[in-house]
Amino acid sequence: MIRHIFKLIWNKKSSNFLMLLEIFLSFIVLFVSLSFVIYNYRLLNKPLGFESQDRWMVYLNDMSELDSLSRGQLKETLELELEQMDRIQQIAFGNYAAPFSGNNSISGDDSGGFLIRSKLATVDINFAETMDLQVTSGRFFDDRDYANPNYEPVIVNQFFMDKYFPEKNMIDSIIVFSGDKQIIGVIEGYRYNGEFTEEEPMMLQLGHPRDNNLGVMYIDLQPGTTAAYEEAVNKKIADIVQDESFIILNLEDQRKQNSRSTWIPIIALISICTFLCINVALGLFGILWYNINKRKGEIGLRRALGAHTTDITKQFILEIIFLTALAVILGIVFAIQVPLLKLGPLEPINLYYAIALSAAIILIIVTVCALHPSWQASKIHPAIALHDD
Amino acid sequence: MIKNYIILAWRVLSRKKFFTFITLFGISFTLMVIMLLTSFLQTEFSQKAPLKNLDKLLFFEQITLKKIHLDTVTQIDTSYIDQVAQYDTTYTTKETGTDMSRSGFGEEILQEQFTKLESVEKSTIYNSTALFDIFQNNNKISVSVNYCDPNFWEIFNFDFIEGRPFNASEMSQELPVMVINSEFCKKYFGRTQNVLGEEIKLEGKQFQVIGVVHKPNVSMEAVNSYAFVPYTVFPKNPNDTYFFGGYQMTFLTANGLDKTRKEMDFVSSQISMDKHDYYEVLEIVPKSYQESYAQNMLYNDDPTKSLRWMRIILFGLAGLFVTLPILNLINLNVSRIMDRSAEIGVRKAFGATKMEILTQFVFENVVQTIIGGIIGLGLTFIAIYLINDSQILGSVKLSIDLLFFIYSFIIIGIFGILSGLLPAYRMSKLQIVNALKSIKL
Repeated sequence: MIRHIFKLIWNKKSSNFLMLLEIFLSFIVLFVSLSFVIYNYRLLNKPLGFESQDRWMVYLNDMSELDSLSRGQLKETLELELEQMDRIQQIAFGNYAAPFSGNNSISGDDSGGFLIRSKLATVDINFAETMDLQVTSGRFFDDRDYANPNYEPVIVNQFFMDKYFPEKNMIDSIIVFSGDKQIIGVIEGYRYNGEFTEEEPMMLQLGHPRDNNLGVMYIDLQPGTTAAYEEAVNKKIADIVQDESFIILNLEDQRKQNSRSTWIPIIALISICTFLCINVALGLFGILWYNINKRKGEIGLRRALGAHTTDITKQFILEIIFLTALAVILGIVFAIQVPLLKLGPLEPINLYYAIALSAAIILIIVTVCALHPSWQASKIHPAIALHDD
Repeated sequence: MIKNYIILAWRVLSRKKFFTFITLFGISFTLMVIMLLTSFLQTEFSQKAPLKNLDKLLFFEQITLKKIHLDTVTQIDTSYIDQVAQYDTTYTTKETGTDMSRSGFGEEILQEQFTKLESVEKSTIYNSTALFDIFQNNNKISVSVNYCDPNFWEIFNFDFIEGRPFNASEMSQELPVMVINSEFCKKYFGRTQNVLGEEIKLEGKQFQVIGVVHKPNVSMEAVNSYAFVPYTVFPKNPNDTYFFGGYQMTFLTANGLDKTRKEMDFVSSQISMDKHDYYEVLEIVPKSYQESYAQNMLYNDDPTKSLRWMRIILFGLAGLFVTLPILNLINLNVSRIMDRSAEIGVRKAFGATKMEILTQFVFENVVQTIIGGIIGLGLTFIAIYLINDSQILGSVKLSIDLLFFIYSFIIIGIFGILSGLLPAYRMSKLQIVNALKSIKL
């Protein structure tokens, strides 16, 4: 059977070659586009690690001209007064490595025997509650930590643990990382540069609102605030800090804007690929329909010699699937080089998914396109077919 | 002759409706994708207001300061020669790490070092990082403000709806004057005209509007600010240092980019690092417009590499996306054209040359492509309208002009000829006997 089908394909090699090339190219296009889409889809499905809905971020102006005491008092007043407003639930302060800011602080240290590299952010004790961080083990910073002078307490994310201390419980252990640090808790994710960024080791350090570098204020609000309310908050802050050069950013808007630059190419690629698939499917359908019509004589002869209608359908479908498989295998041979030779920046797992999905899509399209013409061919009456010839 | 071809092409098209549909669908959507891409590239990279001098511009966006840690490794090899230990010591110095800080420029370093370059016609220093919230009638307007100097208006050629840019004397007198763009104007005043002399309050200061410019269609951030004010009006940010601040600089080069790049490299290599107590090495990379654009899309420390990668990806993908429909069309045509072997046999029997048959089929295909192209053009208009309306590309507004039409028709022509050539060539080679044998006229 297989040898027979191969012979049939070989006999028409010149016109089959063009089909083979077309299916091969479709596979490559799908593979490239799907790699990008799958990579981003997998990132999107990982937890972001904080809440952006109904959260505001306020970049306060520089307060370095104030001494730390009055700075602390000012921020304390800010916190107290704002928390008395009816829709504000919680206030926290953090440094400039803020969500969606593009600011990063990275540090590395190898004095513990191996190199630890991590992103850093400094926050105060209310940060977890305000931003809804998920503490998976241990605890978040609290009042005690301001008083504890022995070791500097830090919180790391799960990725940090998995990368540097896999399957160990490091809660309350001391690590060497720019001095001795005590890990007091582990949080989930906290990919603060957006949902389409890779997971990275992250370390939160404790800061006090009176520190000058904690210049970003986070506000947790009740749902459904209006611009008028924002104006009232803006006035209140302006009255307290005696300055108008700060801005209130809506974290949800920031998140959307941040991910837009990734969504646009994803949507463009998916729509172009869909169109290409429809185009190729229609084309294949037309070609198959034509070719099968041209082989009426062959079909009539087989039917006359006692072949069943299902045999005819089977032959044509197998023929086209065989051709497709050939093209897809050729495509896979090329595509597999990318993860094997580690070309390109993507993790191999994404590429394997892309290869599998592209192959599946192409096989499905081709089979669906072959069904109708093959079924039609099987319906040809032997007498008419033979008469035609 | 041509009239005959057209009539024939039309007949063929209307004979098999389903195949005509498949063909036109493929052609029109492919051409739409190509035209959208053309329109996008043209909007972002063509020389029009405010980037009429695009090819002559060099941009300073970020400055990098580095400190490289060196570590000396001492290696002692001991060997015994005649039972006496011999020591062979080698010292190697290697980099163990780099501390780096990267940010916008400080105003001082730009003023002091880069305002008097010989190969530069004009240069401008600006800071477009500021954002302010204005509340008006229960609406919030986030105003992006660009602090710039008067040269900004000569390097970026904005279209003014009314009014004028500010000048050097207004800058030196620190007058609170402001040029705003049409989008902000519409949001704030509800109209885009007759606003000269009106006042806008920003950071406790009353600014007088002296000009309104059209909002540019391109995505470049610095020209898309809502408001432009002389940078002397705002107090200096106390965090700014000699090297670091929020400033950028743009140069209008006099004799080509390369010459200026060389001069800039020389000047930056002469800058003394005494003014910084920690970092030792300074790195400034001037970028062309395209390089800066590419670096925003695909980050690489070297902007020329970013640009190369962006080109490879863009043209690679576009190439694949175009090859596929062309192949599809060729495939379809090769199958379909067999239908007409009888016609070709008769024509050949009456003395038609190979070339004549080839021309006829290519021509037919071009007619088909043009019909598909016109449908594609219609689809492109709809798509552009939808894209602009939904503001999916942010400040980029896709536009259509004469050049776009010329490009589109070149693309349609190439597409038609390419997809018709191979099937027509095959057909023209057909032997008369074989062609006539399958006659079903």
